[in-house]
Parts: sequence; C-alpha cells; structure tokens
Amino acid sequence: MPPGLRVRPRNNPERGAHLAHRVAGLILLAYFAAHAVTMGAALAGASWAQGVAFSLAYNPWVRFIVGSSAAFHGLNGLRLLAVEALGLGVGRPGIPRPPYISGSLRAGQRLALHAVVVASAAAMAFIAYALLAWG
Amino acid sequence: MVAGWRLEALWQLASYAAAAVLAVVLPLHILSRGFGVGGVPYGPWAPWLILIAAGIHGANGLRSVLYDYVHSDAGRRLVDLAAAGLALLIVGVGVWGLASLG
Repeated sequence: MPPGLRVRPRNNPERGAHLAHRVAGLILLAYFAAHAVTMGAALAGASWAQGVAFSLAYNPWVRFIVGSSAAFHGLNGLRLLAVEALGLGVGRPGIPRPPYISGSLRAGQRLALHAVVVASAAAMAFIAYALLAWG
Repeated sequence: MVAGWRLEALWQLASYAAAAVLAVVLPLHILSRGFGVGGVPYGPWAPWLILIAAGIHGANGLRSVLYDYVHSDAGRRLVDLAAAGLALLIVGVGVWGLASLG
C-alpha cells in the first residue's frame, strides 16, 4: 500500500478521489492497450484478433466500465489541472489553529470535487441509458 | 523527483498537453466508432494521434504510480528511464504511423 494511503485522516475525500483517479486511469490504460493491439491486428488481417477486438469494442459491460472510467478520470483531471497546475481553489495559507483543518480542504476545490462526483454519476447514468437505448 | 525540476516540469507539461489532445480527439474517435459513422467525420490520423497522446499521458501516469512504491534515488532513476523508454517507443510508433499516411 502506498505510504499516502496508510494514513486514514477524517474528512478527506480527496484521498478517495486520488485512489479512484488512479484505478480509473489503469482501467483506461489496460483497455487502450488491449484495444489498440487487437484492433490493429484485426485490421491487419489477423483472424485470432477479430473476435477479441469486436468484443472489446462492442461488449456493453466493457463499454460501460470504460465510459464511466473515462468520465470520472476526465472530469477529475480537470479539477486536478485547476488545483495543481493553476493553483485555483486551494484557499489562502494561514496560521494553523485547532482543530487544525487545512484551509485547502475547505476551499473551492472541495466543492469542485463534489461537482465532479455528481457529474460523473450523471455521465454514468447517461452511458447506461445510451447503451440500453441504442446498444 | 531525482531527475531535476526541469525534467519533472517537462514530464508534467507533456502529460497535460497529451491529456488535452485526448480530450479533443478521443470523443471524435468514439463518436465516429473509428470508421466515420453517424455523420461524425473520421480521420485516419486520429488513432495514431491518440496512440501518441495516450503513450505520453499513460507513461507519466505509470511513472507516478510507481513513484509511490519506489523511494530510492536509484530506483526512481530506473522508473524514469523505463517510463521515458516506453513513451519514446509508443511515440515513435505513432509518428511512424502518421508518416505512413503520406
């Protein structure tokens, strides 16, 4: 377990978002590698790859998992871009006082995280509807 | 970070740029289902561009994950080297693919 996950602070959904972002990224990476290899081989005429490539591209469960991962990873990536690269939504530094809650955990990025979760849930619901309605 | 802040900044900037490319080209690729259906145009360059961008962003992501487990300077140099090799290999294949389109 990474050192950052051994500590279990309260009131820290950012840690959960960090873990979910990594899991979603690894799912996307695994799918991308499998999709690129099998589709490339199938288009090149390899018969073994055609069934696998079709299953990966059109299986509704795979599409739901990959689509949901992409939605969360992309939306949370925008939040991370704002926080890490642009320094937005992290609040102002201040003198630590009891109960020692970091100002960044009460700043705008927390609201952005809640928005990411809600928007990801909406995207997952839309993907499920789209798969059921249009296949 | 063992490679210096300039190289680290280069990794992060390249990764952000690759993510931006993916955010634009990936929906186009998915909506066209790879073959230009439903009125969404398909460019044969799209899969190769996605390969290049995903290679850079994915290699940096793997590097970031491995940094959580590898703490020695020598180990992190090895991680940096492996990630750079993987990214260069994938980018090389992608550039070859784009060039082969003519």
